Amino acid sequence: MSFNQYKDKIEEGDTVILFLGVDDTLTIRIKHGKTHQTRYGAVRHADLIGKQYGSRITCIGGKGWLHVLHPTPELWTITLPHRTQIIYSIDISMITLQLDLKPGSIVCESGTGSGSLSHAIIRSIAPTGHLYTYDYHQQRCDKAREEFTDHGIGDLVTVSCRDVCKDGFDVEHIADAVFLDLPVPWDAIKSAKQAFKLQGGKICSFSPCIEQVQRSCDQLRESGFVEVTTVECIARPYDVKTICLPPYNMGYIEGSTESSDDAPTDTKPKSSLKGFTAKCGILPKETAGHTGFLTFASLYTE
Amino acid sequence: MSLASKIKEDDYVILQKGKNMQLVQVRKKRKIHLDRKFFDLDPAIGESYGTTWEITKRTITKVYSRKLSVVKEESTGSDAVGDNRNIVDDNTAQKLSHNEILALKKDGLKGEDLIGQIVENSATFKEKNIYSQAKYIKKKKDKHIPIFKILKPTTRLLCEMYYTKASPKIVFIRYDTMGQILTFGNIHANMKVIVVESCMGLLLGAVMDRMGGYGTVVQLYIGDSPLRIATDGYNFPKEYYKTLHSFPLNQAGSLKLNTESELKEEYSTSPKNTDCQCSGDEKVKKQRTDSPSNIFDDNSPSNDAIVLAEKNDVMAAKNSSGDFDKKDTPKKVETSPSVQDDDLKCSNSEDKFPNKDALILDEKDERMDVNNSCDDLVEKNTPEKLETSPLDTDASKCSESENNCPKISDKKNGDSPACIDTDDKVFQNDGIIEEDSAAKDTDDNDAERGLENNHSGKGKRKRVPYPERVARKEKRKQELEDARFVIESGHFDAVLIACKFDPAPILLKLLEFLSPSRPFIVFCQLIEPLYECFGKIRESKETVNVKITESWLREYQVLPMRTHPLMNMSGTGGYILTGIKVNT
Repeated sequence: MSFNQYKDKIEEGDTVILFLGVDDTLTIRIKHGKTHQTRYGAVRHADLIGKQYGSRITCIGGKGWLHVLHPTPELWTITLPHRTQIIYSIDISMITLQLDLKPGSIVCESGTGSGSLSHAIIRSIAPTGHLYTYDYHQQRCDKAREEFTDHGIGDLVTVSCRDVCKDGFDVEHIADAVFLDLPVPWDAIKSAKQAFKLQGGKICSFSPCIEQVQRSCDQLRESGFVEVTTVECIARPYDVKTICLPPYNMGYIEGSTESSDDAPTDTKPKSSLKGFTAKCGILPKETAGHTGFLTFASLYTE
Repeated sequence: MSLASKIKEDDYVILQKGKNMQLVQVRKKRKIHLDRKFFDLDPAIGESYGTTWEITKRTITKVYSRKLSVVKEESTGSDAVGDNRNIVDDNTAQKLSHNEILALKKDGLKGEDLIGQIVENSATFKEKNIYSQAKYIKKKKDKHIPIFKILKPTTRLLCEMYYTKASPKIVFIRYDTMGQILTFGNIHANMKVIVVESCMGLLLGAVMDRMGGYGTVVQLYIGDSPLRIATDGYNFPKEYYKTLHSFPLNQAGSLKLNTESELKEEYSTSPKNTDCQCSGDEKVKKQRTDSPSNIFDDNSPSNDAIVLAEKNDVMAAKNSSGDFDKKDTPKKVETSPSVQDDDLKCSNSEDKFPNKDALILDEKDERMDVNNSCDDLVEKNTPEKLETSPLDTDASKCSESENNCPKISDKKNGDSPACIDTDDKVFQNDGIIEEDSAAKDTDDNDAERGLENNHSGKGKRKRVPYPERVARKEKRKQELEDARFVIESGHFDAVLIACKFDPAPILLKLLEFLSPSRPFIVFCQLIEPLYECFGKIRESKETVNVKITESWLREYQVLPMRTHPLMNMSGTGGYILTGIKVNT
């Protein structure tokens, strides 16, 4: 099992996603002999081995069933254990697009955090690219390294415990793209510039607060980056429902011109009034309003 | 990699002037038209991407960024002196008249000096606060200094360019939504993807870009042949196209999942299955060499026999499905008018496009020059003939030629699939169309030889031999069968749909070929068709995690003391339906 290569059947040691419902997913690592409890009943790991990804599994106890899915960076993002605030898939899609990540790209990232973005980056740059990821928190680094190995992408990433704001990136002239998710990104920009290939590349900084963005933008321009742009991107999720607004009987008098269509009112008095029925997209009453500002900039040579 | 950062001849590049972007191909001596100025890009060949250029008398010169930052902006500081209490809008502030400015330009005054003159002659400039001064200078610079940047085309730039210039042509996919399609489709190397799109090959190009030449892409194209103008913009190496198969969507009804092949795959026809067992680089190499050659290369060892056998099966199946095709005809009829619409629109828009004529004229001039130098002025109209001939003779092969010949005379008002194409007028003044014609040239191998060959090769052109055409036809037929085989063997890892037709039937058909636990994405400019899609796939119970989302994108101006969202933002970037197929 690997996050960057699909396969068909579940095997021992695989990380799989148990899908119980929308926004109700969890991740397990298959180990023969183990049993996992879900709210629909228990799932024996041994029963999953050999099953095709995407299969429907009936839980022991018969309270319900679930689907067992192949992990993807997107499913991982919604199930991973949070060690920090994480970057979600909408922002990831924007970062991947604007940093122009593709197989072969070399990327530097700081900080690693919970590894949500790291997984997505590795997926996009495999099989020939490489990710250098930095975090100043030793435990987070160790945990991330362990996850990457478990997920079959360990050889595409180098995890270093390092404070890039103080000590800089420990690589020079290799990166196509640099990503910063730091409390004080402006301190890392100068050293980030060193990490870029001589031909230049793209940088992105993720910051939740506008004050951080302002200082980063100033620093980026000062350091010779161009095309500095800041965007905010949010997904609006629609729930599809068939709605029916009943008509209101406004007391039109029978036989009058208005109700000529409904001539036989006496036979079916109510059903003749149709009301409004349609499929509608309903936005949730409360939804994500802000994740962070994404600042992008380019570095070119002359 | 370092070579990739240099501008090469025949590369497609994006010229960016302010918000205006244009995709052009770099050709020696080819005249480019940008912002009412003609010039060639010759000096840029061999230079780096991202460089800035100034248009100077029909050619361009490089501009160094040091020179560009004329008036250093006083950063930070709330001491914004001056305000607008005494500024009266009576058009007397600028003492230089338009003609005087033109005269100054003619005298050779340019760049900063010119801006300096304009600023000096502005009576109100000094009264403004520093922020409006900066804005004023920026405005004047944009107007009077004809500079632009040469950028390497990327998905974001191409998407943004088409979105601003000809959004109906890419069914209104905004770049953030494009990013989401690719991310939620989990597009990466070494996978097998189906793409159905009517956005001129933009989505296809984006997918191929993300796959980096590893894996297999199948394009189910709309119309008689695939339209890949935007795909060309990516400058993909030729190998990438070996991973690409195309099959007409109007025959998709006859496709059947080849379940028998699954048995055979147990002993290694499918590259996928075998790949799972090998690891690391080996996997990559194998996929890279194996999966395309499996289908294309008849010399591929061992599994050759099986492939052939299966092909025969497929052929048999196809023969027997003859009447199946017939049954399908109503569907075909249904689609064809809109396809024709498509063609019509293209040709229309080309007709409308004023610059195209200019461009062709220019090219003609050049060819005439060539002819002059050869003392060969006999047939004045040869260039024109040559211009059209490849398109005519290769009608069977050259896809886009369809668009060139306005074979449908009555304007099918319709734009049947919804109001997607409402603002046709967008096409009128865009530079993309010009590119279309350029793309057509290169798309066709024969036309690729370019200008200088045109006069020497005119005899050849006529001789395009009959047997060659037959061979070409055979090749196409073979490619079609190969594509059919690739699709019918199933095991797809993603299905992406972004077209202007009802997505539900297309999605339901293609879900057959998608492996369980793999994502599918449907893009639509409008949300209502997705409701139907949503309802239908929920009925089938073959999918989980089905969601409809819209992306909201806001850009900010971030400057000291002047940070705020941009005054205008895009209303919508379209809607996507995402989901994962499962076993029931």
